[in-house]
Amino acid sequence: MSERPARQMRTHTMRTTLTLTLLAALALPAPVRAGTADADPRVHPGLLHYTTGESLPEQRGQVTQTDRTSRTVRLQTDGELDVANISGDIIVQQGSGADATIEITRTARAASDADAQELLQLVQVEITERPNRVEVRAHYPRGEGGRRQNRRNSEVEVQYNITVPAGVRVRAHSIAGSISAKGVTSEFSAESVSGNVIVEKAGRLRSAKSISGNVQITETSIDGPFQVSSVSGNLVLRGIEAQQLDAGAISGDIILDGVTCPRLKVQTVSGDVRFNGPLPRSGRYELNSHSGDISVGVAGNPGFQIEATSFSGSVHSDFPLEKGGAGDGRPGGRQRTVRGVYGDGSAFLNLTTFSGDITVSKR
Amino acid sequence: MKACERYLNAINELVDGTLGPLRRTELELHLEGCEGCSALAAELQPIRDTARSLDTMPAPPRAWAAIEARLRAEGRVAARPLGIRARPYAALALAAALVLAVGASLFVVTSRNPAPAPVTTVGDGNGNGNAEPVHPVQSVESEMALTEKHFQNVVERADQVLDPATAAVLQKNLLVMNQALEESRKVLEADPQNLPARQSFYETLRQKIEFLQTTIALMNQMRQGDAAGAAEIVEGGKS
Repeated sequence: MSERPARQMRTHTMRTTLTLTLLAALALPAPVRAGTADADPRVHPGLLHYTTGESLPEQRGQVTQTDRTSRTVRLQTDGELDVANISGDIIVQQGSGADATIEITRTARAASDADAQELLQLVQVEITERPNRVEVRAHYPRGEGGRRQNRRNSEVEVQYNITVPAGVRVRAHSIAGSISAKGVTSEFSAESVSGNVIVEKAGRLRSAKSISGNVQITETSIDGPFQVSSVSGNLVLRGIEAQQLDAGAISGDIILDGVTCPRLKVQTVSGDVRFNGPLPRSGRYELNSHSGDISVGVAGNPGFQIEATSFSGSVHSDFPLEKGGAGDGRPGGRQRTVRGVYGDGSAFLNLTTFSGDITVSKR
Repeated sequence: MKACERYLNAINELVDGTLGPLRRTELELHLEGCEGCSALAAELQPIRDTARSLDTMPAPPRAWAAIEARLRAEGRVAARPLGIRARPYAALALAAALVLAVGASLFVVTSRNPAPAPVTTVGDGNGNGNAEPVHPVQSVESEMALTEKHFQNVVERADQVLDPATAAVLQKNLLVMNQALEESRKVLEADPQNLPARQSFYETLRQKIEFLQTTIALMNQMRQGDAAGAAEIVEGGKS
């Protein structure tokens, strides 16, 4: 074997391994079975950017083949369903029955029906039933043989539509696909590399993370610590009640609208932070951004102590503060630091930027 | 089995990130050929990771003051050169050292040139206690520099092993963090007490360490699949 093919093989193997293990980097115990089948660049999952519910984009001169199957598995109310995908969406909802239903749609795109059908057979879904735990994995072939059939611009995706009984924990991980869940009241966590994470009306959301995708959570009440993060995507949380929320992004914006949370920590490097919500008594809010702006809209009749500081940005507060410090608490002024107490001072706001502006306003 | 017993402490130290380079090299060679010890190390790793992920329970400031006063009274701590709260930076330095240690252990076996040892800020080697004797920012910076020496290449060459779009995201955000650090560093050089600069520096460093840890986790998995290729990329080898 010449050096060039050897390097190509290694690169392909590494890429496959790395895309799979990017999930592991998101703290996912999603061991993917070492491929025994041959690799096929035609079925390289790629990293596509879909909105949930979209399917493989049609391309001129290409046809698609689709295969749909369904599987029903029994899980106790404290059971766990762990689904990992490479390319394709994962959609989770809660059902009323005692069984979990997994609908699997595999879609292949190729230049001809025969090729698409052949590709379809190369990607297999494995469902492993353990005592009160079910693992669902999509296996893309790896190895030498696939390179013999190198054809570009061919894709295979696997979409899951999953219905779980109440009480079953769900862990969903995807590399290129989006993850969405609606009405899942049991413990739920979702991580995607390039896909979006969309959660609505969840109950016990534990984490929602993406690297380049957006994370959107709406109308959800969370009864424990919750982590939400993205590297470059935006985090949008609306209508959330949580005991403890930790939100982080590097270049993405963080928007917390109608969020009620007594322990909130938010950190971005270049993204903006916007928080609108009430400040419960004894609540603690730490919002930091290097160059992004921080905007806090306080709802209700709040009482808080505030320390807001920026190196080169400005700090503005609508509230007349008592016991003012460096910024002497006067409302309306533009200054670098605002310290003081408003009302009973029961909550604590710690807002810091390096160059971003800070604004605290009434809602 | 008898031979394995002598490696137990080294495995613990490896996981803790305190194993020196020579013993680490020896251990890594042993792990390559010993499934039992390799499995043990693999089992300890998530325990350490879990412990690291636990919420910290900050001691009240007066407790630290009392400890510091006691150490000072015993002559075990040097005067702090600046008024900067040292503890967060020390924690970051340790985290960076941990990143480096884990990362170094990744590639030392596959590399002809063993990785440099992790440098920790715990103790000064002369029995003078464990308080950091140097400027905390400089300390953590040195750790980060060592860490980055190994892993900057990973991110910069991520497009060799990752989807180009994802690799570009990682690279772009590394630049964002580096720029933020540079901006706050310049301010700290002139005004070490500057609160927003310190806060930004600390938080961005924390995020950068997490970012690098993520990258290392990827490389850990890569090593299982293709150790030589991983080492080549990390060392900035030919593409």
